[in-house]
Amino acid sequence: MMFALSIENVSFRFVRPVLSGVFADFAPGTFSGILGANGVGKSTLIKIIGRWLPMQEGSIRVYNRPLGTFSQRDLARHIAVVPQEQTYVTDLTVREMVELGRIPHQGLLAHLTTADQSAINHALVQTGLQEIAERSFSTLSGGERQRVRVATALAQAADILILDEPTTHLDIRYQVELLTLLAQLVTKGYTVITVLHDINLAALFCDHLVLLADGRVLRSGPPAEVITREAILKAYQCDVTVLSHPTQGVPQISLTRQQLPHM
Amino acid sequence: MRQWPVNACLGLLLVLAVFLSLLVGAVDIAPSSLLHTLQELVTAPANAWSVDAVIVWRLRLPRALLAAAVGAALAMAGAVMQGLLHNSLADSFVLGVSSGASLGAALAMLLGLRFTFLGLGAVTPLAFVGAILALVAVLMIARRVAGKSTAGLLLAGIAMNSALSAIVSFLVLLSRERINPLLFWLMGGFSGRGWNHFLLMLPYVLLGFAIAYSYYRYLTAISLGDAAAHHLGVDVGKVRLLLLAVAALLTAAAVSVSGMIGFVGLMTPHFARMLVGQHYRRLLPTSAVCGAVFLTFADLVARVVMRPQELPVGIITALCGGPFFLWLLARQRQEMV
Repeated sequence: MMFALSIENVSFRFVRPVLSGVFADFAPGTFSGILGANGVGKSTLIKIIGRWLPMQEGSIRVYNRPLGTFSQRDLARHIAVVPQEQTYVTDLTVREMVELGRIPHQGLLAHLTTADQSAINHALVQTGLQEIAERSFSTLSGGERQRVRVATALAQAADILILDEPTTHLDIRYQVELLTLLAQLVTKGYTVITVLHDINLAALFCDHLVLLADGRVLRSGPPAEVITREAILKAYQCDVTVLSHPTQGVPQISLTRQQLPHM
Repeated sequence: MRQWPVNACLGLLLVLAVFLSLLVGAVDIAPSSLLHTLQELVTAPANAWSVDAVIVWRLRLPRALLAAAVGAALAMAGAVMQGLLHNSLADSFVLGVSSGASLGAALAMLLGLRFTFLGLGAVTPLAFVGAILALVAVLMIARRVAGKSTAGLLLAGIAMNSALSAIVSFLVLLSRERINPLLFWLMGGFSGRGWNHFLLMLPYVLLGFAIAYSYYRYLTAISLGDAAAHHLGVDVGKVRLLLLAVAALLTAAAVSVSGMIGFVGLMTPHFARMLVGQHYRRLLPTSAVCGAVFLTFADLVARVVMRPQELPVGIITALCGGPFFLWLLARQRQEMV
């Protein structure tokens, strides 16, 4: 089977070893979540895939083509990365932000072609932003801003979408809204890979999970196989009770109060 | 859409500033006779011109145009650098480019160099060379020491700036008798500049604008964050290096013909941003026109406030710039809270 993205034996050191031999495959048209404790290297892995960090060891293939053979522009047409939220303020309108997604398809001074226009409009419609397309980005709520980032990625017309903790600063309504949007994109053929902090949301929305621990993949597979008491204890050093979601049937964790050993 | 009315208004202001510059000076020309003078310039042969016509053609017109060109160059350089370095307090003076230019100029003056190049005295070409050398040094140091970080580049520029400024101060102290022209040059101004200077400046302004404008999408993307631009397929390192070089060339050209005129590059992009927003498709042209208007008016003020004596225009821009800088800091602080 040809994978959309396959990661083979990727290692990365920065002062200390961060990733040591990560293997993971992502099938086309699936919704994958990358889980793991703070500092385990989830973001590092995403940065290596997006070539923001150099690949020190191992190999990554995009539809069987080695990552190193892509130009940055070419890569941006295949993989759209939404990095962790940044603090730069801007008064660009939503449409102008989404327009930037066309950069990998445009010449330097070229006007927007009809293909550009339709990609931009399509992205705005898919993310439900057409109503507020002319509003300034800085006036938007956190949830709307994340949708704009996703829309910019969609305008890139890449079929692999990678997001780094897209729900972090959002309240539950916007968390569910954003993940629902991503799940819809998956049904339309996109391959979505996202780093998530919230294990329950990951289990609810993703069909494939990759749990990292100690710089390696501890478990990967459907949520029911990955989210177990032992695996979570090993990855997060936190004891949880694993329950079953009352309507969806997927595993959900429940936390309990603990006595800290040194107190 | 909003940028066209804004640019039209700024354009009118620029025409007004140039027009006033033609009228005012050591000898005033009445507005009513200016039209006649301009007509004379077009129709009469040069040897039959009146005194007014000679003053307008030889002194005032090139000076006003030079002020506009320098203002535009400094403003564009500032706008580009603020975007590239994600720092609204950055301008081309921060990178040590201008102090490199002043060192070149100081050497030319103190060594009494007397060659001419393209009809210009030794000061202008040496200032230009100094600026470029300083930029290359800063880029190399920053690359060696700080890798890709923009903070490293800023710090390298600041270090270079203070080192070179110290050398210039030392040179000023060393040679008492030639101190005045150098100090005057360091304060920045357009006194005694003519068509040669304007013609030297013009290609850099046009070329600088053409290159920077053709990268407006990349500039906008980089101003939103290096990582975001990278993931949009922009080769951030390469584009930043190219555009920094463009900004430095603009500064070098400006400084070499007019000396150290501070704060234009810092201030005017902020005005432009308030008028047309942060997208470089609008910001770059509007910054250029804002810079041109501001510096032409500043030069006008410099010529009239202490008539018949002229102030260096750098004093006027710094007088506006100091308080503006503080206001900007206060505003940023409010935004952060």
